Amino acid sequence: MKNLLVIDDEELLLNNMKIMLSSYASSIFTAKNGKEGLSVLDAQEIHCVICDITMPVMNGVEFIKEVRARNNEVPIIFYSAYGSHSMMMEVSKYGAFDFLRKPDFEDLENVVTRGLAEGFNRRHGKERVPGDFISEYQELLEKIKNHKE
Amino acid sequence: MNTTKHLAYFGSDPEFKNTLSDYVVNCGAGECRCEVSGYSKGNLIDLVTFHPPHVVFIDFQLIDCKKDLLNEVMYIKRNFAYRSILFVAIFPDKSSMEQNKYAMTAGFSLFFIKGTEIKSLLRDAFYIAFNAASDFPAFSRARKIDKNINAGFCSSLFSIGKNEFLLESDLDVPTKMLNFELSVFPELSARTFTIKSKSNYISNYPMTTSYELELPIASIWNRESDFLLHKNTLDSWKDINRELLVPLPVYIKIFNRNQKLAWEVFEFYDASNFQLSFSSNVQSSELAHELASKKPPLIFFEIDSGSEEGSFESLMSLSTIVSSVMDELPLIVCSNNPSTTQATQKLLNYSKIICFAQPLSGQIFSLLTKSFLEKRKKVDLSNYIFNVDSKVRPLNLEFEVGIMSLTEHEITFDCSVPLPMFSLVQFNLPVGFTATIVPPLYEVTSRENSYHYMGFITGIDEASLTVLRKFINQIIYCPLDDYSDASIAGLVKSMNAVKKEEEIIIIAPVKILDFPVKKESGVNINPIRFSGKSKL
Repeated sequence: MKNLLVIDDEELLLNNMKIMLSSYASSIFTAKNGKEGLSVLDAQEIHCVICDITMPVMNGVEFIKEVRARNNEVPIIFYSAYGSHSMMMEVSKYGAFDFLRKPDFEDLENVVTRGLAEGFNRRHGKERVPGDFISEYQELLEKIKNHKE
Repeated sequence: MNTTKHLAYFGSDPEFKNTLSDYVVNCGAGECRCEVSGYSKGNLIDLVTFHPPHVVFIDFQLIDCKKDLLNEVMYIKRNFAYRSILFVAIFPDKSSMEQNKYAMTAGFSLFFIKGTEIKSLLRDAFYIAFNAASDFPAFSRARKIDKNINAGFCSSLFSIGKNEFLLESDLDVPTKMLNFELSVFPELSARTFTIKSKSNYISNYPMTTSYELELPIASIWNRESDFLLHKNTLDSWKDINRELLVPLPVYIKIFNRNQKLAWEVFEFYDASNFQLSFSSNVQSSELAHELASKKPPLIFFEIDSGSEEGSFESLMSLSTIVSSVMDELPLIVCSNNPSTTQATQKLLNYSKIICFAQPLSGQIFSLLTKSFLEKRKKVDLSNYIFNVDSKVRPLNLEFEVGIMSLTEHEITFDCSVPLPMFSLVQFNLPVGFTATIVPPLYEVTSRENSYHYMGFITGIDEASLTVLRKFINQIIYCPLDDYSDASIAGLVKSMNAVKKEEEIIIIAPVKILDFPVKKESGVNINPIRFSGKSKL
C-alpha cells in the first residue's frame, strides 16, 4: 500500500493527477497549498509527495523546510516551471527527490513510481546504503563509456 | 588565536635534533612546539592533517623511500590548506644534495648541508615562516657589484609527448623562447626552445608557470643537425629510459573543506595512476584555466550547507564552468547532497553528475576512483610524465639578472620580470649557490623597469662559503674595475693561490694572522682577513 499526496493550487490539475496516477498509488490525497499538505502528512502515512513550487499561503520551499524540520524524509517531487530556478535551488538544499517540468510532466509515471518505492523503503527502514549509489554510479559510468564509444 | 609556532623534524640525527630543540627554547620567538620523528610512508600526511606544522625539516640522510616522501610533500603542496607549510631539506653533504636535487622543485624552499651553521638555517626558516627578523647578524656586504649574469631559475620538466614537452617554472618570461640545457638528451646541442603555449594556472609542481615547448624534431631532410632530435631517437630514448617516466596519470579534482579527507584519501593515493588536486573554492578565477588545461575527467564536490564554498550555488557555478571550458564533460560526484541524482541533474541541467547523501570518505573515494579508472579508456601512452625522483627532471632556466649586492648570507639582484617569493634561483658568483627569494630584510630600491629582489643563500657547503666570504671581502676592500667573467676568474684564481699559501702557513708552527699582500693577474688582494664565524 503506497500513498501519494499531490499539492497544487489548481483544482483542475489535482483532478487530472488523481486520474493519471490512480494505477500507481493505493491512495492519492490532495491539498491546495503547503499548509494543507502538512495537515495531510500529519494525519496519513504518505510515501511520496508531488508539490508545486509556487503556491499561495505556503509555497514549495516553505513546505519542504517545514517537513524536514519535522524529521520527515518523505520523497518530494517538485513541479518546476520557467522562472522557478532559484526556488529549485532552495528546495534542493532540503532534499528534493526529482523535478517535473510543468506543463508537460514528461516521465511523470516513472518518477512517481520511483518516489513511492523510495518513500515506502524509507518508512520501512530500508535506507539507501552506499552500495545503492555505487551501483547507480557504475550504471552511469557504463552509460558514459558506451556514449563515448 | 593560537600563536604557537609548530615545527617538525623528520630524521634521526641527534645533533640536529638537539640544536633545533635548543633554538626553539632560546630563540625568544614565543611559544614553540617541536615534534621529532623518523619518516615512514604516510606519517608526514598524518602530522599535517592533525597538527599542521609551520615548518617541516626533512633529513635526507637516512631516508630510504625518497620517492614516497617527495610524493607526500607534493600531495601536501597541492592542497590549498597546506601550501604555506615551509619544507626544509637537510643533507649530510654536498654530494647528497646534488644527488637529491629533484627536491628543489618538489616543494622544498630551504636547504641545509650539515657541517654549516644550523642557527643560520633556523633564523632563515623563522624569518620565512614567522616573519621573525630580530636577530640576523650584520654580514659584510659587497655593494655596487653591478654585474649582469645568467642566473638559473630552478624549474622542472613535467611531461614529454610526441612533439612537445612541458616545463614548469617560477620564471614567467614574456619572450617566445626559453634558454636552458636539456640534460635529458645529452646529444642534443640546442639550448633555445620555442614556447608553444604558456599557462599560469596549471602547474603540477609547486610553481607558477607552465610552458609547453616544441621538441626540435628533425625531418628526414635535415638529419645531420645536432640541434634537432630524430623521432626514432626520441622513441628509443623513451623505451630505454622507461624508469624515468610514467604514463600521464588521470587528474582528479576534489572540492572539499574537510581536511581529514585528504588524510583518508592518501591511504588510497596512487601517484602513478592519478593526481589529486584539492580546492575549497570554485569561485577562484584560476579554476576555469585549471579545468580547461588539466581536463579532469572526475571531480568530487562535497556539499557543505554551512559554507558558501560548499553550497548548491557553488556546485551550480562548477557545472557552468566545466560546461563552458571543457569539451568532454567530467563526471561530478557530489557527496553530502540531500537531493537525489535525478533532481540535481535537472537542477544543474548537467547529466554527468551522481549524488549521494553521505559525506565522502576515503573508502568511497577509493571505490569510485577505482571503478572509474577501470571503465576509462586506456590512457594515451604517447604522453609520459617524469617521475618525481627522476634525476633529469630538474633544470635551470637561464635568464639575465643584475647583481646588486652580496653577503655570505644573502644576495640582492634585479630582474626585468616579477618573481614569486620563495622561488629558487641558482647563481655562480664565484661559486655555485642557490638563493631563496624572500621579502627583503632591508630596503632594496628597484630601478626603472626592473624588480629588485633579495635571496637567502641556501644549501651552501662550508668550502664554498669560505670562497664566497673571501670573494666578498676582496670586493668590499678592493672593488674590481670591471666585473667581467675574466676579472672574476682572475680574482678567484688569486684567492686560490692565497689559499695554498694559507695552508702552508697553517702547517708551520708560527701562527700567522693575516694573509700576505699579493698582486696577481692585475688583481689587488687585500690583506684584511675575514673575521666572521667559521667552523673550519
